[in-house]
Parts: sequence; structure tokens; C-alpha cells
Amino acid sequence: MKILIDTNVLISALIFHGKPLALLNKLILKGYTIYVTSYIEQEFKEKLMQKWPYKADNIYKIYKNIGFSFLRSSEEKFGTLRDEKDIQILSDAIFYGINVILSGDKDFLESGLKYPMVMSVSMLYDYLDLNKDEHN
Amino acid sequence: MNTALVNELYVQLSDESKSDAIDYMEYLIERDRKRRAEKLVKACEEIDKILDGDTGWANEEEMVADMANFRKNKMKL
Repeated sequence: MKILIDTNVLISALIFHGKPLALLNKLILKGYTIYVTSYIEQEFKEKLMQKWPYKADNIYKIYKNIGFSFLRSSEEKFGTLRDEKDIQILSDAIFYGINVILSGDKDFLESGLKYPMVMSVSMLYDYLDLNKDEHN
Repeated sequence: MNTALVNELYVQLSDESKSDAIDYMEYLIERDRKRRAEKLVKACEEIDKILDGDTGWANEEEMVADMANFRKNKMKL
């Protein structure tokens, strides 16, 4: 299964940790491939610069060293969304045959997409039945 | 090392050695996954040190809303 993480999940995991980080950790241990796109990386970088201008470069370097699978964003647009802001993410997901887009954005989650599926951290936990591991 | 070479080596093994080779590859896969997961956790620890308690947003909900606006503004929507 190919999982693309949206910028908000990337920030949640790296800055706030909690369940998003635990999920990414589990996905890696279970052999799922986690993807980021050039669009997401650029957005992440710009937000780091805006929030922490003097620390952004160091944080970005640390992020790059994690080694998520990288995809160059497509210039063509694929798919349609009512909420146009997420079209690049959807487009890249379709272009690269992504199965699940992991996002925390309410509008994206409520887009009703069937393929690729758009899931929150909790939804993907349930979908992959990962909660049971924590109780064993 | 490419797949063709691995296949070439693999077909020369006895059945018993093939089984051992598969076990070893599974062990390596598991080890690689653990290393990648540890790398992620270590990266977060390093980021924590740099940020020194400044998470940038009051909470995750605020961050998600901010990122949605950020994307909208970038796309001039």
C-alpha cells in the first residue's frame, strides 16, 4: 500500500508527535511505503521559514534525513475536488497510484473520494487494524 | 547488487540454503524497518531540541486550520 502524507500530518508527527508519529512509526515497521511530494516538501519548508526563520534550515535537514519516499509533483492536473486547494495533492496521488492520502484537513477528509482514499490518522489506524497491536 | 544477480545466486543454492537465505533476507528487512523507524524517532527528538518547547501553534487543530489557509492563499483561492 502506498501512503502519501499531507503537510499537516507531516507537521503533526514531527512537531506535535502523539498519534501521528506513532502511526508513521507503525507503518514503517509494518513495511508500508510512506511518500511525500515536492509540493508537500515545499509547503513544509515555507511554513518552517515562516514560523522559525532561524531554525528552519536545520529542521528541514533533519526531516530530509528521515528518508520518506520522494515523488516529484506532476505538472498536469488529475481529478476534481470541490475544495480546489487540495487538487495538487490529489493530482499527484492519482499520477503515482497512491492508495491512501493521509490528511488532517476536514474538507479533504469529507471530499468523498473513493480512490485514492483520504484518511485521517485515526481512520488509517482503524483501517489497518493497528490499534490491536497496542493492546497485545 | 541487482535483482538479476540475486536471482542468479539464489538458483545455485540447495533447497535448505534457499530457506536459510529467505530467513536471512526477512531478518534484514525487519532490521532495516527498525532502523528507519528509529531514524524517525531520533529526528523528532532532534527537532524537539531545536524548537525547545516552541511548537509554533497552540495545538494541532490550530495548525491544521493554519495549513489549510496557507494552501488557499498560495493558490490564491
